[in-house]
Amino acid sequence: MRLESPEFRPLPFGPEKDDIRSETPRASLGALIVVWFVSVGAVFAGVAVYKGTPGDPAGPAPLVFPDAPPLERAEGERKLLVFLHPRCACSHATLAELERLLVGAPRQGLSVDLIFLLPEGEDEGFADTALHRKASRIPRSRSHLDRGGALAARFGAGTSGHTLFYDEAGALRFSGGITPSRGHEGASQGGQRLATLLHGGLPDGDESAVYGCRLSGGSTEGLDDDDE
Amino acid sequence: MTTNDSLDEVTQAIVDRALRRYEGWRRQVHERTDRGFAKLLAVEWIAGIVFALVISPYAWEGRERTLHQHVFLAAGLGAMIVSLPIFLAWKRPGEAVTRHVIAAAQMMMSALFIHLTGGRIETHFHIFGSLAFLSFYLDWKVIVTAIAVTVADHFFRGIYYPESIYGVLLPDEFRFLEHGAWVLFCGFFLVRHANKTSKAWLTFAEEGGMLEAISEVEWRERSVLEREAMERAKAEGA
Repeated sequence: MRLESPEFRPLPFGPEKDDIRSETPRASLGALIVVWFVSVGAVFAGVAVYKGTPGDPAGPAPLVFPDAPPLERAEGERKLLVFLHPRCACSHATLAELERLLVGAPRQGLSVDLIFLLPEGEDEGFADTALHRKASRIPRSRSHLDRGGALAARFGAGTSGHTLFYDEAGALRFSGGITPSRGHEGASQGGQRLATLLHGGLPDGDESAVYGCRLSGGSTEGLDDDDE
Repeated sequence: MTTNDSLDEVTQAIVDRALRRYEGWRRQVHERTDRGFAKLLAVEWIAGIVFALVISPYAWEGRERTLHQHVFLAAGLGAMIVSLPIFLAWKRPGEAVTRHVIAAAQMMMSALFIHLTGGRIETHFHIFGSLAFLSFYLDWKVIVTAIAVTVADHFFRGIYYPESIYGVLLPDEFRFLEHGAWVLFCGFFLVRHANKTSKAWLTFAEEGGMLEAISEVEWRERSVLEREAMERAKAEGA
């Protein structure tokens, strides 16, 4: 065999490694990557802060279930009220959480009322939304239109997703939201507390933050305040 | 020159050819995957904007509406995330830095989609799908980068904003490990797959290099014989 000088030719197989290097210096590229990473991280942090900023309540919720037609409570009935803005995208998460909470919870003697805001000057088409239709599919629940936000104001609900629970004696046992952040599904402190109440337990608190669109334009006109 | 020296040179020649083949294959795969991810990231960016516009176009205050933060997020943050990896896939395809930036960006897109869809459990599958796509690089370090970004996201949010991720305000300080463990579970098999496939490629490259070297030797031998035969025929004719 004649192999004294095996100078084999390089194969024409793809570009040589040097060919794919661009002119961008390594240090500049490193700095660019750091700036990119930090910038994206900062925006994500800002998003988390925004999503974690709760809405303000319109006022204190009545400690005893008030006379507030069309919401009526029969003797010994537990009452779960959820105030929603029909066009609030964030409130889809509230409904998803509500559905999860109601699955497996004892429903005997429990009335679920979903109250949708209908701002002044808007017709009922304003509330004919996917959220409203989704709510109407929750078994054994009732939907109501809250004209002018009077009911929301009556119950101190200032943010879509505000949930109230009154026990068999008509006493307020929970007031707050049931999502972990704005428009975000998942386990939450409020959801856990409400689940405990629905199963007849004693939760570690009776409030939680509410995340969602504002329910403004409310008026208590026409409702008496005696029961607060 | 001794026989041993010749054999060493033959071996070195085979190794050089095998490595050149192996690196060539890897480079082709990396460049192709870079281009694929550049397109995928662009599509994901557009999909995020469309999704935000369809699902949550407005935020409401009574009857007043404003453009929802999700729309700005999908357009602005989405553009920020995809810009650098697409630039690198265009200007520096096949380089290690490009695929690591792409891996980080892909996991950031998972986080963005999770935000845009309100934390739906189903959207978390995007993380596992992304890890599977990233395994196309056949580079275990890329999987590690992707997992590190996901675990870091859980770690820092677990510290500063635990309810957004765990649903409770005071989670166990090592709870992020539970979430990360499922990602590691998936990543373990992908890393194993990448290593095994790379090893198989190296074997194929070595076999190919050997065949090439033998072929070239035979070609050289045959050329010499042919030349000798021609010279002999010429002399006889004269």
